[in-house]
Amino acid sequence: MTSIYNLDKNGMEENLDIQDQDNEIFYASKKRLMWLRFKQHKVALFSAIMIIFFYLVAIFAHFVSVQDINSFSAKYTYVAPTEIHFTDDQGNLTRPYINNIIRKLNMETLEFEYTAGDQVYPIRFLHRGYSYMFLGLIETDIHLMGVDEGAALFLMGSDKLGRDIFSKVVHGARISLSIGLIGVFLSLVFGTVLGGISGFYGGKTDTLIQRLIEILMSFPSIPLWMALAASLPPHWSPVVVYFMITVILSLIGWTGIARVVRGIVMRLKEEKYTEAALLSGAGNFYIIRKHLLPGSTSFVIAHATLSIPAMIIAETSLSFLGIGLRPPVVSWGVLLQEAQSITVIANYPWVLYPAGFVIAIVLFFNFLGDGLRDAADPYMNRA
Amino acid sequence: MDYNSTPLVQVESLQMHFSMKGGAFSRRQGTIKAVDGVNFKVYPNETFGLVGESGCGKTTVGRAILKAMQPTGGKVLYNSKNGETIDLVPMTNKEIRPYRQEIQMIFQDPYSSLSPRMTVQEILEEPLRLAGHTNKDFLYQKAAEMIQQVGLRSSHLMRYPHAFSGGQRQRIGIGRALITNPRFIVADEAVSALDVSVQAQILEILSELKAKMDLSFLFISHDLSVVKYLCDRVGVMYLGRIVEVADTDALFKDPLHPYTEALMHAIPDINEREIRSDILAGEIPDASNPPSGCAFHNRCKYAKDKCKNEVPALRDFISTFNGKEIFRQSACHFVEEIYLQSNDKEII
Amino acid sequence: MRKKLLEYKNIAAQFHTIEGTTNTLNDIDLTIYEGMSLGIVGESGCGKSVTSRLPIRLLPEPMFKVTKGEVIYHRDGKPFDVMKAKQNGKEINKIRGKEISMIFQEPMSSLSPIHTVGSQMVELIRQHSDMNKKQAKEHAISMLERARVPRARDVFDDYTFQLSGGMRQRVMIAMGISCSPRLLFADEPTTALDVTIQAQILGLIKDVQREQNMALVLITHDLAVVANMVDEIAVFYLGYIVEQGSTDQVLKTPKHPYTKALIESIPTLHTDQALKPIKGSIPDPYSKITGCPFWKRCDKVTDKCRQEVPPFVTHENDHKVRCFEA
Repeated sequence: MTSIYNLDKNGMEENLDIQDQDNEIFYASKKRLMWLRFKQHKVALFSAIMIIFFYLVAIFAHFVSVQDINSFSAKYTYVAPTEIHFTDDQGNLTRPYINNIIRKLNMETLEFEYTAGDQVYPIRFLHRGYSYMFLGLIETDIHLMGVDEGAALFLMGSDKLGRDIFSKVVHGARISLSIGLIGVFLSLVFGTVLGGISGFYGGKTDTLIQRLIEILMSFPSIPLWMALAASLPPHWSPVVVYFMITVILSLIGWTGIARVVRGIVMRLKEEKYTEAALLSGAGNFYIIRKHLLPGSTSFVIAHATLSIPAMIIAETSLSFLGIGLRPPVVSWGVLLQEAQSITVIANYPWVLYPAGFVIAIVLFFNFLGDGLRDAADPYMNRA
Repeated sequence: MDYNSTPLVQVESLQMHFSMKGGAFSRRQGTIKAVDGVNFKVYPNETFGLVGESGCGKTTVGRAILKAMQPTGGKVLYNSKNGETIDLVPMTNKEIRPYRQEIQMIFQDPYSSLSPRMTVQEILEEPLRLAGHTNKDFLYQKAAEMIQQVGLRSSHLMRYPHAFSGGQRQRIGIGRALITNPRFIVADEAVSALDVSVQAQILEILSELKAKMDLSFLFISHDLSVVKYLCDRVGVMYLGRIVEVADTDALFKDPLHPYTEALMHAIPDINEREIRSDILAGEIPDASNPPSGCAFHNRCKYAKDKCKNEVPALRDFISTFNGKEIFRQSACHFVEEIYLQSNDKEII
Repeated sequence: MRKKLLEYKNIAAQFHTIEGTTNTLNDIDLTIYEGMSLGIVGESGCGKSVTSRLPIRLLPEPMFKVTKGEVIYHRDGKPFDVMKAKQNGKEINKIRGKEISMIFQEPMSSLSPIHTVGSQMVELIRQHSDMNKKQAKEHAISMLERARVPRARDVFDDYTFQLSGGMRQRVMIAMGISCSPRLLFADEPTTALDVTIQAQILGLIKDVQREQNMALVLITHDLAVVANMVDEIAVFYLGYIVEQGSTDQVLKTPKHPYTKALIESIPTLHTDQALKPIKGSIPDPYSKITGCPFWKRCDKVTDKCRQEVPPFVTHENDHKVRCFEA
């Protein structure tokens, strides 16, 4: 017996040589492994960068925007996106410039037509424009770009009151992007707590919570939102309405997350390492803190990321229908209200630009969520 | 083995019945008697094997002893470190907690039994922490000692489980079970999930540590060969009951129950070139609807009318084996007729 | 003269995944003759399952790639290069399930839970023959009977989840032989079963092979399982065949240290020999190993073993071994 054991010990020494080419992977925590796998997912990585970029733009909306979104000008209604030139008359490369805009009334259609003039206005970076509070702290009038008096830069055209759509999109991002985050955060709180309780205790508690979720899920969401949104008193300030809308959205949104959390908690409870802790005398609190919470966070985050787009779309639809946010609040949904008439879309298709941003951000969040989910559990989608 | 000493663990008419409340569409209703009156003793420093095929209730017995499940009846008497004998069955989780470090478990699956989010050190330290130890130096020292005991290195403590192969993970699992200096270990299919070339290493480690640390095992397995290698005594289970108990050598040389005989006969032998013609026919019956009388009668080649009607009791025998008189048990009506020689006797 | 049925010629194959590349098969040279029975024995990661799925192209291409060699399937005296055909093309579909069929460890994963046993069998039979529904049903029932399924007519109308594990495996065997294949791969067919059921199923497979006069490749990790089942054994380790020969050659007079160690490390019921564990563990499939795949666990290792892969040498009586010391 002893001799065999010795042989075995020697065996281990040899064996360790195989696995002892000290690989940093051996010391990598679950989080680090997730990051290594996530990095392999190029589309998700790109999406993450784009999402960060979008949020930066939203935070620095005043700096990025060209025109004060509260100002309007009758001179430039429904101007098409300004053409930016990079070459001069001779075809030589110059700094980017635009031409001035000439307005002419078409006597046949009785509509204003805009054509490019021949004066040259170079696009100036860190240009001085309208003044604003930088991050709400410092008063400044420096903007990312702009042109001198006399011309107007409409990167995405202008609307019926002559306001710059680009600037409005940039400001709309603040509301549209934050409503997703806050809504998902609230859903996460409801969902994790209720789903966790449901999965951990099981039995009657579980049945009760599951029935509640089923009832909530069986409501058609759009009419429910409409009813709830319509019940908000019209005299409430836009900020309160904004907050209430997120609460309404997350009232439905938590159900999905609760189901995911319930499933994960039930699975982790069955894991043998959880049982090992129980059989060593661990109490409920220890099991939750050491095994259930750390085990479920990555999935929950991945799932939450996947539900942000639904929130963004919900806000956009509500606002588009006129029962969500209302002007003067600017959100992408509010902006799209302008695109409700077919004649407007036919004549001034650039009012649809905000829709492009909704689509882009929704796609990016979906890709990011997919990447996170795959990184959290690479084996889920195999088999 | 001293069979006159106080048993470490004594299981008395252990029962685990599940009631099936089938819904409106369910055909199955009634009670599953997963474990139905199981009795056995595990003596200090003994490895008691529990073998049987799937659904025989062997795993349930292990889990019931550890109170991972609450038995529906019977007693689990444990002779604790401070000498008192306690019945674990009626105790609450809180009441058992002080004894948890004396009774531990080794799991089958080396993958799901180690948390992927903890380092080996955290995994090994967990049972000690739960037993109330907080001194970091002490915890580290114990973990470092333990990891060497199971044949790994202390430099591996910082690694996560994914850095190890199945066999090495199982070593870590054994380390976790042994770190609190337990006296009784339930090992449920502890080597079944491992590659054959690694199985033998783990069996070696287990028997080495058993001698070194004065351990007693309840070794649950479907694999008779492994049980034969490791165990001192073996209980054979069939459909929720123990049908035979004996010293390992005696059990495998001459079994006293037709099921044990058939089970051994079904195991392929590396030196045989012809398929055996007389292998056990039929399947293991459904536990929710077991056969009447002796549960094995419908597959037994010796079955008579009595077997269909009467449930056989587990009877005690004194049998001569290798010139010695040994004590053993069998639950067959016809032990005397089928197996026993004239000088063996039954004691009731 | 034995007639060739399937030939693996110097196959090397790799799996490419995010975690890296594994050399799944290395220099596999193996011929399966008509009507023979071969046991492929090896532990996890040895490439035994991949070998069985290769000729019917059941592997996830292009993640899985054959980098060298060819697989030749002989039909009516004509060789057919399996790897050159389209993965799910007509030719492969003709072979897959009809001429070469498979039974798996867990029958549930290859049987549909939402169709009855009968409808799955009838569909398979009609796909590969021109029987009408009624004929196909009768044929299916006769196949179930051949697989010793009791009350075959009732089981025909059952769903697979209503059957026990052993019965599912019988149904799987009935399906496997229903198109009279020339070759049956059985991949760990009894690993998930209890010993008494295992003995029944192994006996059944052996009987069916004799009755159908087909070739059988039995894949398993358990040497004892193949001992009374096959004429020839190939031992796999880390994607190499390390030893191949008749059952007696491999089990009674093993020449490769791995085969020897494997035999000595298994606890057996029928002998009283002491256990001799193999040291170390099976290397991670992503690690790169130079030289002999087994040298790190071998007692007789020399410098040469560490540097060169030993050739697969044929000794007396067609006993092939991949070891310098043999």
